[in-house]
Amino acid sequence: MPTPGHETPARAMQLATPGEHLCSFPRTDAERRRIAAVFVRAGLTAARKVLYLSDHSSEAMLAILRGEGVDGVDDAHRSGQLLLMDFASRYGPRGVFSAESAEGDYRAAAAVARDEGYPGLHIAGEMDWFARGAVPLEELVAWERGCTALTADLGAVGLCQYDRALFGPAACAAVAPPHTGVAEDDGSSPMAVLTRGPAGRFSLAGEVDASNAAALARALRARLRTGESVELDVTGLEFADLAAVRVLRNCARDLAPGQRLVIRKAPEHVRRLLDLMGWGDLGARLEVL
Amino acid sequence: VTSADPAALSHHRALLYASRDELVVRIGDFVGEGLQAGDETVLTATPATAAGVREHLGDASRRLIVAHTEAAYADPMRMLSDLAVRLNGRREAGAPRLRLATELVTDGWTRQKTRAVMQFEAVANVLYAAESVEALCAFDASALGGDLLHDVRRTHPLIVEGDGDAPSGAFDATAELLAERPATGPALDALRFPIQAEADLRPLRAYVRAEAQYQGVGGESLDRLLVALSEVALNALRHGRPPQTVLIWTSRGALVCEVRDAGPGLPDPLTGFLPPLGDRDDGRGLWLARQLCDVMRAYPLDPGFAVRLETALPGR
Repeated sequence: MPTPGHETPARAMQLATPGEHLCSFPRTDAERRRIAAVFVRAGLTAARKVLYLSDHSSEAMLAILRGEGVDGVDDAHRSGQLLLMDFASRYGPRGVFSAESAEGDYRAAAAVARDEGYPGLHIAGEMDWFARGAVPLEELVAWERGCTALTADLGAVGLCQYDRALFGPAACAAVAPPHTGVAEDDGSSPMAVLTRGPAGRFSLAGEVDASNAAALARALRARLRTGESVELDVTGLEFADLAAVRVLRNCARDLAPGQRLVIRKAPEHVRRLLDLMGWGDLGARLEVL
Repeated sequence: VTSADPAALSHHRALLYASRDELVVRIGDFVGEGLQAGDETVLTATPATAAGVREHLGDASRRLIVAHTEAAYADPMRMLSDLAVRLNGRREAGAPRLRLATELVTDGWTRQKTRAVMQFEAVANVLYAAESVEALCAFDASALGGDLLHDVRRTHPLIVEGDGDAPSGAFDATAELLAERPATGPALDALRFPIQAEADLRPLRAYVRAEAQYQGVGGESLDRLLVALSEVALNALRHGRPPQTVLIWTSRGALVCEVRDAGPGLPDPLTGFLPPLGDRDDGRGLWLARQLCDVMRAYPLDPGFAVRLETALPGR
C-alpha cells in the first residue's frame, strides 16, 4: 500500500515559508506530538503567531509541547503568541461544519495577528474532529483545497495532522493532494532564532545571512508597523553579514517619527559593518548599544 | 568612475625630495598656491613637516587643513574608501577644487603595507582625474629602493625631482591594480569545500570557524574573516559560474581562504577597491572583504576567477 501523500512532495517544516499548506499522517501519538513540536518551534523561533488546534485542553497541549522540549512555550502562551484551542470551541459539536465560517475565522485571526505586529500565522490542526464521516470526505477535500488558497492569501503556514489509523488509508490518500507538501522533520535547528518577548523586546540568536535575512526583515517590519519602538537584544547573534545589517539599517531608516529601533549588545563586527557602510549615523532612531 | 585612461587627466605628482628643506619648501609652495586659488587644501604630514610648512606659509596657513600621516596611512584601503565617499559628497555639494599634499614615510613598511599603499595610489589616479584633484605625494628620494621607486613611478603620472615636473615614463596604474596574482598557489593539502547555494554558506562558516580556531584564530579577527568569506562566497554564487569551491590552507603564518569559480571574473579591476555608492549591494562583497581582511587578492585563473583572503595567525 502506498504511503498517503506519496505523490505530494515532502517538505521540511523547518524550511516552510509563507503560503505553504502541509499535511502529515502520524501513525502514533508520539509521532503526532513530535510533528506538533517541530511545527510550533518553527513558528515561534521566527517570531510568528502560532495557532494550534487539537482535542486537548490548552494545559494538556502545553504539557505536550513542554515534554517535547519546545523552549519558551509558557511565555509564548502567556503573551498570546501561542494560541492553543480545542476543536469543539472552534467548530462547535462534531458534524456541524461550515467552511465559510471557518474561513472567516482564519481571516479574522490573521488580521488580529497582523495588528499585533506578527509577520504571519502558523496554523496547525489535528483533524480528529473531522474523522469517521463527521464531515463527508468530498467536503473535507474541498475544504483543504480552499485552505491552500487561503493559506497563500494570508501568507500563513499551515499544517493538518491526519491520524492514519483514525482516518484510514483511503481518506488519507484523498486529503493529501490538495496540500502543497507532506510535512517532514529534517532534524535541523533554525539558523536564527528570533524570540518575541513582552513590550516590543526581541532577542535574536544564531546566524543571519543573505539566505535568511528576509525572514528577519518580515518579523521586524511587522512589529514596527504597529508604530511601537523595538528593542532587539543580539547577545546570542553569532554571525551577521551585510544583508543582515542592511535589514537593521533599512528598518531604522523607515521608522515613523518618534519610533526607535534599539540594538542591544551588538558584536564588534556588526558595529564595524554599520560603520564601514556609513550607516552608524541614523541619529536617535537606530541605537546600537 | 571607471579605470579607463586615468593617465591623461590625473594631476597626481610624486615629489622625490633630497632634503628636509626641499620637502618643506616644495610642499609649502604647492599648498600656498592652492590656498591662494581658493582650493580646499589638505596637508597630510608628520607633525614636524606640518610645523615647517606652517612657518613657511605664515598667515596664509590659517585655512590649511592638517592631518597626521601615520594615522591616515594606518589602513590604506579604508583611506581609499573615505576618499571616494568624500569626493562624491563634494561633487554633490559643488565644493571647490581639492588639493592634497601628502608626506609619505616609508620607513618600516612591510611588503603587505607597500602593496596596499601602492594600490591606493593607483586607484587614486582615477578618483583625482574624475574630480580634478591636484595631488602631491612626497617621498624621501634617499629612502626609495629600486622596487619602491619603480612602484612610485608606475602609480604617479608626474614626477617632481630637481627642477620641475616630468612625465613618469613608467606610469601604468592599471598594472599596479592588476598585480594581485599571488606568487604561490594553494597548498597541496588545502581543504576543499564546494558551495552550490546560499544555504551552503552556514556550513562553510562552521567549517572555516573550526579550522581557524584549531589554528588559533579567534575573536574579532575570526568574525571579520567569516564576514569577508561569506560575502565573497555569496558573490561567487550570485555573479560567478559553477563550480564554486573554497580552498583553505595555512601558509607563511597566515590562514588562507580562497573562493574560486569558473566565471570570467571582474569586468572592471576597480571593483572591490571603491565603495559602491548608492544603495546597491552589487560589488560591495569584494569591497567589504578588502576592508575586513589583512590581505585580499582578486585575480584571474585560467579559466576562472579567485579571491584570496589571508588572516594572520597569532604569534607568528
